[in-house]
Amino acid sequence: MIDDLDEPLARRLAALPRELAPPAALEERVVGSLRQRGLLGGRRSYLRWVGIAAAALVLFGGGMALGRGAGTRPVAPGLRQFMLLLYEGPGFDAGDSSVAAARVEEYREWARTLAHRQRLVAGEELGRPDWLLERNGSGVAVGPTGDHADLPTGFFIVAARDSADAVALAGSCPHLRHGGRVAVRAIRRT
Amino acid sequence: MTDGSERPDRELVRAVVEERDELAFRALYRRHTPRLHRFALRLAAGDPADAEDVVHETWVRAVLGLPTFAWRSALPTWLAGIAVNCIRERWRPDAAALADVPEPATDDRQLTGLPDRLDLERAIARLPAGGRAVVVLHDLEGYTHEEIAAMLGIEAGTSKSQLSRARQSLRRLLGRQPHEGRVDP
Repeated sequence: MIDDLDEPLARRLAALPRELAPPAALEERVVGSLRQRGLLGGRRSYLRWVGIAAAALVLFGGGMALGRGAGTRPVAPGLRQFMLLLYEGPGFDAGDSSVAAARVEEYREWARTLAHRQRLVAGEELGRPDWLLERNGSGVAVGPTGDHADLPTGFFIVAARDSADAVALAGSCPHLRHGGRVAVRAIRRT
Repeated sequence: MTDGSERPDRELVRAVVEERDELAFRALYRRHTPRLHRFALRLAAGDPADAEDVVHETWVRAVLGLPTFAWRSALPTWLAGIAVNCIRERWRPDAAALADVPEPATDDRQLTGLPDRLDLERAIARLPAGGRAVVVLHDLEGYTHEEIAAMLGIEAGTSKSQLSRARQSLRRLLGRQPHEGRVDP
């Protein structure tokens, strides 16, 4: 038997409020969790990398005439290429708008130094959102990298004599001064 | 510069997904959380800590799922479905309550004659979890039995019968029957 909603109960139900302001701390809790999972926080990083990319265009405008793509910039002969992968872990200080210009200049100066030594091949921001593909049974699952937030947010390709030389170059990267991490990976030509 | 409060949901969602834009997320959060919070509080039988946990978990799961959200429903409806799932996970030890709405205990009649909102909220909170969910979803949030069935993983007919029993329980908890005279709001 279906019990119809009689008018008195219907009126009382209709009079109940439909909204309730959440406690202010809850918003910060939610945002904090999303940041921790790498699901929020792209804007500041994006702006910083846009600045760096713009600086790189100015820096390498002449070099671009020599050709495009990794390996075509003027680098010292006889060197191997290494990729420096930049990570923003929980300890990374992205800074705010008040330090953005100084931060861009800091990275720009570092890139300029490498370029003058003919050690810089390329440097780019890695696009967002990041996606993770995993084998799932007979298919492939595609999802956001929320639970795999520790992925690189940018890279530089540098020319170095060997791993030790590449590590030395990476050690001067300003990313480290701001709590970021830099992985050095040799590029193996195939 | 805008805080996003005037931007439509789709635009804000795109900014969250593609740019991880925190301001866009905060705009979405502030727009939809008051309703979600009240909804969660009712489903959580009035427990504020549980309700906050549900809201938190709902948003985390929602942002994880936003890249695949196809807009076949409005965003608030989708959020409500996620919240229901979060609540249902907390029901598991008491899953039997989903299938039946027992008669209220005799002591519940002490609520007789207190026809105000607070007592109605209390009465809803005292319903078994399954009946409470159906009343909240149908009579307060306006979902159809088919939508409720999909959310709760039950048949539409089960939703109807649960609603019928839950309403009867509500009347008992409130101390009156359908044939009795009106109760002023």
